[in-house]
Amino acid sequence: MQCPLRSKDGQEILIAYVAGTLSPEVAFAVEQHMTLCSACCALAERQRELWAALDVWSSTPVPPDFNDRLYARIAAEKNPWWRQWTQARWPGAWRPALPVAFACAALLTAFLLKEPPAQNDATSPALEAPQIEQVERALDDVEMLKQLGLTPARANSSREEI
Amino acid sequence: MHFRLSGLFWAAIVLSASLAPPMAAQGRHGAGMGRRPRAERSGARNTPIEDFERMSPDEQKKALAKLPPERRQKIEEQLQTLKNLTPEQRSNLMQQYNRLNELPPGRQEAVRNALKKFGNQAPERQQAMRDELRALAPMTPEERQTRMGSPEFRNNYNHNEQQIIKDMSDLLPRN
Repeated sequence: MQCPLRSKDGQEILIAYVAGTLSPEVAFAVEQHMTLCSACCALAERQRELWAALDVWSSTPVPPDFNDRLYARIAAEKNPWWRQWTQARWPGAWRPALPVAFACAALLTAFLLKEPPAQNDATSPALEAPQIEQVERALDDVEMLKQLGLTPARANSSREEI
Repeated sequence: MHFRLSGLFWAAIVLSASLAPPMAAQGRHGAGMGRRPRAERSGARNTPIEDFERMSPDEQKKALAKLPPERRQKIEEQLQTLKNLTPEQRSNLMQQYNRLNELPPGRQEAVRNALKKFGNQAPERQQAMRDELRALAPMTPEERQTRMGSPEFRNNYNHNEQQIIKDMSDLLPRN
C-alpha cells in the first residue's frame, strides 16, 4: 500500500480508519502499512486522542429562549436609538408625521430668521441706533435744504408746500 | 414612504440653511449712508436723525461723546433748530432729505454741490431761484423739462443758476 500521507486524500483514510468506518480489507491494508510507517502511525494516534477527548467533553446546554434573544438583539442593532425612541412615543399612524413636523419647524425657523419682526419704535431704539457720523451728515444735508427755503415758513403756511 | 419623508426633512434643513441669513448680518447695520435698510413707518422712512432722536438721552450723550467738542456742539444746535420747526415744516424737510437720499450717489453729490453754490449766491438771486423751484414743483417731469429748456428760463438765469436749478429740481416731488 502506498503511504496515505503522500496521496491527496490520505488523511481522510487515516481518520476513517480511526473512526472504524473503512471496509475490513482497506482497514487491514492500513494496519499493515502503519507497522512500517511511523508518520501514519503518529497521525492515527493523535486522531485517537482527539476522539477520546471529544468523548469526555459535554457541551453547555442552550437555553430554550436563546433564538428569541438572539433575533431580538439583531433587530435592536438594525434599529437605531432615535428610531426606537420615536417608535416608543409615537403611535404607528403618527410616525410619518414626525419628519414633516421637523421640516415645518425648520422652515418656520428659517422664515423667522430671514424676516425678523419689525422693531417697536419705542422699545428698542438702541437696535436702530444710527452711527453718529450718519447723523452728522444727515443734519448737514437738512441744514442745506433748510437754507434752500423750499419749506413753507411758519407765518406763511398757505404757501405751496414742496 | 419613510425614505421619502426623511428626504423631505433633510431637504427642509438644507432649504432653511440657505434661506437663513448669517446671524452676524442681523446685528447692527453698516455705516454706509442710504444703504442701511430702514424700517418703514407710516409709509415714510426713518432718517438717521429720527433714529437718533428715538435713542434715550443717555445713549445720545454716549454717541455724541465720540465727537470733538465743536462737532458735538454743532450737532446739538442743528438738532435744536429742527425741534423749533413746526411739524409741517419738519415733515417737508424730511421728505426733501429722503428724496435726496433716494437719488443715485452721483446725483446726490451733484445736488449737494448745487445746494452749496446756491448758498453762495446773492440773496435776490437765491430768491429768484427759490421761486422758480416753487413754480416747478407742481409740474410733471415733462413740463419741468420743457420749462427748463424754454427761452424764458434761459433769459432769467445765467448758466450757473440754470445748472443749480436743474440739479436741485431732483429734490422736487415726483408728480
